[in-house]
Amino acid sequence: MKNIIKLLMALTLAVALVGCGSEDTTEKDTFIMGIDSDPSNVINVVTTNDRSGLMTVNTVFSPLYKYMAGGEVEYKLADSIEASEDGLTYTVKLKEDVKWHDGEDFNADDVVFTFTTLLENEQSEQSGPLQFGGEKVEVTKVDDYTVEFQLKSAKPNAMEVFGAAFIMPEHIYKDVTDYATSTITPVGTGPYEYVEYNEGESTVFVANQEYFDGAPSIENLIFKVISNSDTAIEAMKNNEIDGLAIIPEDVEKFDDSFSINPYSEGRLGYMSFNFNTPSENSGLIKDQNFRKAVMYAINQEEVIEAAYISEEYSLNPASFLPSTALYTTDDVESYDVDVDKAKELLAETEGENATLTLAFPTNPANEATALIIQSNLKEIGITLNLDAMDPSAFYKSTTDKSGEYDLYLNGYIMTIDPDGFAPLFTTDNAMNSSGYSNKTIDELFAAGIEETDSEKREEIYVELQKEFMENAFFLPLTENKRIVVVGENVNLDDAKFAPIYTFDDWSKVSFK
Amino acid sequence: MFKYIVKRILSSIPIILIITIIAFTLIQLAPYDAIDTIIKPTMSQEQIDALKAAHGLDKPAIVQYFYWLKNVMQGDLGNSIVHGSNIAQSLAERIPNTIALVLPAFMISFVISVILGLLAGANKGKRIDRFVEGLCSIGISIPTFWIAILLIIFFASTLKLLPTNGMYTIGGSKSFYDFLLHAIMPWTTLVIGLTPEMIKYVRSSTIGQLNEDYVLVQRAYGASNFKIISVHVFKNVLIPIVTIFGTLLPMLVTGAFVTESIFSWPGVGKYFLDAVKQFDYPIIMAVLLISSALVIIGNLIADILYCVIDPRIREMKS
Repeated sequence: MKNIIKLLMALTLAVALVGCGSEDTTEKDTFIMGIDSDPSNVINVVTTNDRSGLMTVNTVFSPLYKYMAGGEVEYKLADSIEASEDGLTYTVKLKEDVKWHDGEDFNADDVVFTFTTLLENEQSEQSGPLQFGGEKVEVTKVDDYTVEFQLKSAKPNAMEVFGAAFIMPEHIYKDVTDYATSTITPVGTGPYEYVEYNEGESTVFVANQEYFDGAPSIENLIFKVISNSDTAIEAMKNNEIDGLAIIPEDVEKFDDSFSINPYSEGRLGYMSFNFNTPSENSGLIKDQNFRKAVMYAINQEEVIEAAYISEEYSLNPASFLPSTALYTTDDVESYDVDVDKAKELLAETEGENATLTLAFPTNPANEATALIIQSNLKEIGITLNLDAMDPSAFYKSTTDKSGEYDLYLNGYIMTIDPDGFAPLFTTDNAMNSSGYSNKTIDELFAAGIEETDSEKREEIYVELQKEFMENAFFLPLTENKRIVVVGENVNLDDAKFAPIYTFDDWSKVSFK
Repeated sequence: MFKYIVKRILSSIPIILIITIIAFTLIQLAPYDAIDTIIKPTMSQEQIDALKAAHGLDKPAIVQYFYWLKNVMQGDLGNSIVHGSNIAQSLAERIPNTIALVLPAFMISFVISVILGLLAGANKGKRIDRFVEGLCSIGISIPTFWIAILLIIFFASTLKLLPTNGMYTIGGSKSFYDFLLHAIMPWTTLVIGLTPEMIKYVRSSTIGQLNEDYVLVQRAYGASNFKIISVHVFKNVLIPIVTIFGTLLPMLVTGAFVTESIFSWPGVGKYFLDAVKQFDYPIIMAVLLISSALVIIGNLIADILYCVIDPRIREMKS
């Protein structure tokens, strides 16, 4: 053992000698963001769908505008968007003098080209919402800087859908058909230009001096792949990188010289009953009192503590709509833990001493949640078997309804407009993984999408949320936050956090 | 000799085919595929079906296999299902990185293990042998990921001497010096992982050789212990080491999953691991194909080296 220590010391000395004189004193002009997965070199606005890839897209490309949490509109390539009285026509005025990174002018042709591709290309990730349930939107050029969106019937979520598309240049992409494998260097109008991709290592960007919203103050931006979270944390503590997303357990590893920024991505974690279960419990699950008994037995605060440490890192949602969505209300049956009530309700059912199975895609937060629920249910005499599944296998079982479990944990990040949640909960929709069917809920979702007056819509969706929670088939558990650590020399005063992309606009991040 | 090599290569083709068939079958047995790992709740069923069809995942497994085989025969390893990036291109960039990690580490541990192994073997049962044996036991029982994290905490976080991860300083010039700084810790980790087992090989082989008649003859001639070990025994000990060399070749491609993951080394191991997690079968198949080919080539080279090193084997074969 002594020799090992000697060896280590010798090695240290050797390294120390070589290491001398490598200090750099130049002013910091590069922001390095640690990311946990390789975005690859296939980056475009049509097929890219993973977080690292979308972060890259958001850095290089700009949308017409961004529809932020709560329905606020932040204009990017558009100067304004106006809906006609009947809600069928949206007229977008584009910013003039915007240039693509290669110096070409941006104009309405690019917008029309982008939306046409998103709608027509088979590989398009975005075509779903743009189809508006079979009533495809039509995009036409009015003049060089005006574009018109034409709908067949008024859709209140149209604003959000149009804002979700990043605009790409026609002159670069006009001949591309196979976006899924195209390695064309992305050219956009965003705050940073794409410089190079290093396989498995990093993607490098340089500031777009012509950026329409003012040139970024940091010259270089790099997304560096560090997949091992322990290593990434050490790299962050060592100031080798300037920003990193971490999980709540790791917050305490950082001292005061770092700034910890939790923000909600609108991700809602929930427990749902599985109405497709093939087990003998299928009758029980259809019994609303039984479901309520289970929901009243679960201590949501304990779940949050176990899975996300404290309510600082996860909200305790009451509704199926996260805080970032429009019309979210707390004025619903909230199922705060009440063991006596749970026992009372349970006594009215056949479910005393029942044995249920809870499945979940395995990850630390879900495991902690499942263990709490298991011990909560034990208190009312229900035995819970846990089934930790491989995430891919679990998702597959939710889409093809093959899951052999009575309860499951899952989560979603959906849209800001509540209509985006309709596929998850309406009868016989492929995305309705619980298999629950309720006429009132179907009708309220249908009414919500047809109503254009926002006050009336709010009434509809508040009623929907009440009805939804009253039926007790779905228990919102957590709205966990993404936590971004940056060094103390980083100034985020002007920067806004955004779901998935980390920052809404990288040009607003600066060094102090 | 030439005929022998050709024969060996030809006979390995069916083996590689069988390996690919087994790998493909195992992938198909899983209840889900790569597309299931990238589905989002906002996608419609038609979109999912279209995606599966685009990658041929809606076809029967056997059709998929022959489609894959046809492309490989034409030198096309395909594209990643999850990212769409070209696999051959990714591997071409990553394989040299893995070699730069594994080869020097292997060389270092080769030198260390020959020296320590001979020393221990020649002094069987003595203090130095027990010490080397002890080191080996510690080395074998310590998991590499733990060593790696300890190294990072000590050299990078506490002493701030070395960078925690990567192959080059991002955004800096890609100098050799910079590479060395980044490589020291991964190399050390690999050396600690590789050496103990190799020492054990050399040690037991040395002990075996020392009982041979030629050693007795040399002793009778009055040769010094040092001369016997360094000249005569050393050569004979090389034979089992050559066997290890045969296994080195595939290791150059896939040999350092754990080390690569922890140090974010942009090599093949990390790439392969991610692909396995996401069921990105074209990548899994490509890496398996290359590494199984290398296993066979590595063994072939080892066989040829036996002939070069050992005249007895040469005569046996001819």
